[in-house]
Amino acid sequence: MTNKTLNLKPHIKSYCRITNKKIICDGEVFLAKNESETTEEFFKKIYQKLGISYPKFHKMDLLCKAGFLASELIAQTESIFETNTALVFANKSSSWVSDEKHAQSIYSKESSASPAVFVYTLPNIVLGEISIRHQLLSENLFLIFEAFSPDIFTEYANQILTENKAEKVLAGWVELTENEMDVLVFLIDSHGDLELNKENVTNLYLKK
Amino acid sequence: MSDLKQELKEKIIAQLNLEDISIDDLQDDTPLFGEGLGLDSIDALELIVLLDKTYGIKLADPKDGRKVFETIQTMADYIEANRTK
Amino acid sequence: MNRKPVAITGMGIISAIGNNLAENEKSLLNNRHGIRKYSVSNPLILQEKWVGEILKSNEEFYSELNLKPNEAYTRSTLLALTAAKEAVQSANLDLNDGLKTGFISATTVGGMDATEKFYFEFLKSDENKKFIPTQNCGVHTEQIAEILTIKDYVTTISTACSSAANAIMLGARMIKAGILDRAVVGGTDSLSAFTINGFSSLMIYSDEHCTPFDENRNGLNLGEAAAYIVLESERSAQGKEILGFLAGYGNANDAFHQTASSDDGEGAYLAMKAALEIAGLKPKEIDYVNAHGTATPNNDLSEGQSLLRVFGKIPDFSSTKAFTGHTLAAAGAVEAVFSLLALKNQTVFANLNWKTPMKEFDLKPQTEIKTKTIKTVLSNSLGFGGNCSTLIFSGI
Repeated sequence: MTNKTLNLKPHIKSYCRITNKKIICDGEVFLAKNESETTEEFFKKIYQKLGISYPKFHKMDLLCKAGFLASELIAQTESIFETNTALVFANKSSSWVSDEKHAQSIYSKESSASPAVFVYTLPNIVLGEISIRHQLLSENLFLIFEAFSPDIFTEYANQILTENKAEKVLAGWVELTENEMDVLVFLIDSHGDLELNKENVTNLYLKK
Repeated sequence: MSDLKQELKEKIIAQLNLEDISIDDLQDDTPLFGEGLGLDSIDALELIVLLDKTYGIKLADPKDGRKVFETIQTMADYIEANRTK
Repeated sequence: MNRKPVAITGMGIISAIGNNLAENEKSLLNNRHGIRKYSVSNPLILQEKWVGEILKSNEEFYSELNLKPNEAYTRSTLLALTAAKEAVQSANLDLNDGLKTGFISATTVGGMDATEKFYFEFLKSDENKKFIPTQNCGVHTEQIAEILTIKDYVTTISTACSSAANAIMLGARMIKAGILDRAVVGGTDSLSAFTINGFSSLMIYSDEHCTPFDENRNGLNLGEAAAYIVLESERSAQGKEILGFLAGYGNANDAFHQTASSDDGEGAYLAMKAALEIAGLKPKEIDYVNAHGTATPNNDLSEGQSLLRVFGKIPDFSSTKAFTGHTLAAAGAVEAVFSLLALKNQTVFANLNWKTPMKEFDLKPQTEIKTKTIKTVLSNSLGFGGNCSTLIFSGI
């Protein structure tokens, strides 16, 4: 019997934090946001700076773009392509940005729903987009909480990794509204520099 | 007809968020789906909405879209023949 | 790892085919579906739609649930509270006995039904402003947890059509991990212009009563419902009447498209395999498959393919969505309850409206209600975003 599970101590391998001011990856600022820029413009600049070619990006809504970009940055150093990486994401406002857009189009006089907008009126579509990009067929879960808390991420990751249900876990708090970008995505593995615990996760979140 | 094709190219690029494509990239006979522009099923639905809202043509069955949306040329031909706006 | 099945000691449901468990059971056993033209005249919905509607007004719910008229409960919440209360009562839960209890609820619509009704008024009058905060998906969970007095763990899941199945899965895991002794798990979604118009824009809303797994199927009917089951640890369930067990569960991503399923149904295939593994069962040991079967051209083809890949020879299977409509976030829990009723009655429920086999393969669902020995039921819930979940229930 292997002692893999007995020696298991999940660690945070890499993280990405997006706030209203900038996008950081593993302690380094990848890009700062100009005050006059919209979220849309800022995300486009990050996409261009990443130097990838993924035309589907432009069709995504802001929530999916945020999750996609954060994961992409992490994946540049820690490839997750075709790995058994479970996804556990959460936020407060669900798919608010697209919900509002879709609702407005229905309430308008012409009352015409756009299929491309409706597609994004579910918060877990961001998990779908990440899975498609990195060909992840693993478990994925999206929860709604009143506010950020490290608990679900640490508990879920510990459980999944201990049970060998996945090799890695990509965890994310992706709260996006009209005026607010509050995103923390981090990759958890069975080894690394930073131990996975509530304190360390909270510290990453509080880094602004 | 060429005005309509130009108009279609502009509308499609805007409506479908084809940011990496310029109007010059879009030839009249570029395949829109599959290997060409790589549009998908949701894009097809958006084109159906476009046909309805802008040209007053209702396509009831999404499968009919396949032939109509093959290229800019086939779209323009279809619109010319069926538009009510 | 704890592979022991988790006990189920209670259930509650409200849907288009019944306002409680007994009514739902009777309707299933009598092939009585609940799909009708939408009775609510909603100016935002452009055409008459076939829906699985619960023929009860919000006012009636307020009265039955003894809720104060000045408090804001959206329709999704009212349905959820009705079903959750029934589940808690049927499990004889004593929420003051010191055992750790969780409430995990799923929704996609959230309070959208109220937002649609009152949106234009919000700036004009104060009357319905109390509904503004109820839009959020998490609010219904918190309101119900407070009424039921469940405090130890409360959260909301929103993963499209697999939401409630994932709520059930999360509850089971938390019990197995020792974080909870028991959990009330399930989901709710009410009808809304948001979802009806949205699915219509995807051109997958049928203009007739839906026909799952039929060659000529042309889309789904939406439905509204709420359903909850009570999961308990071995210790917590001692001495109680056990309705069945959650023997296995699995979740995987299809990684193909935001809203369409892959041709070979990879996500569903992986979810079913994972569930079978946890249950320690071979495919041939499954007696009945309650399929996702939404009757969209894409789902039934993809799911059919995944069933063939898992089973080879598929056991008796049916989609019950022609009874209730597609109840979105509630579907996983509605069909969990139906799976448990199948075990209770030793009956496979009918896949209504089926006439012509799909040309792609030789697949015939169980079109007539059928009594037989049923020890295990597998239930699929496949959501947008490629989120595929499978639950396996076993009898006592």
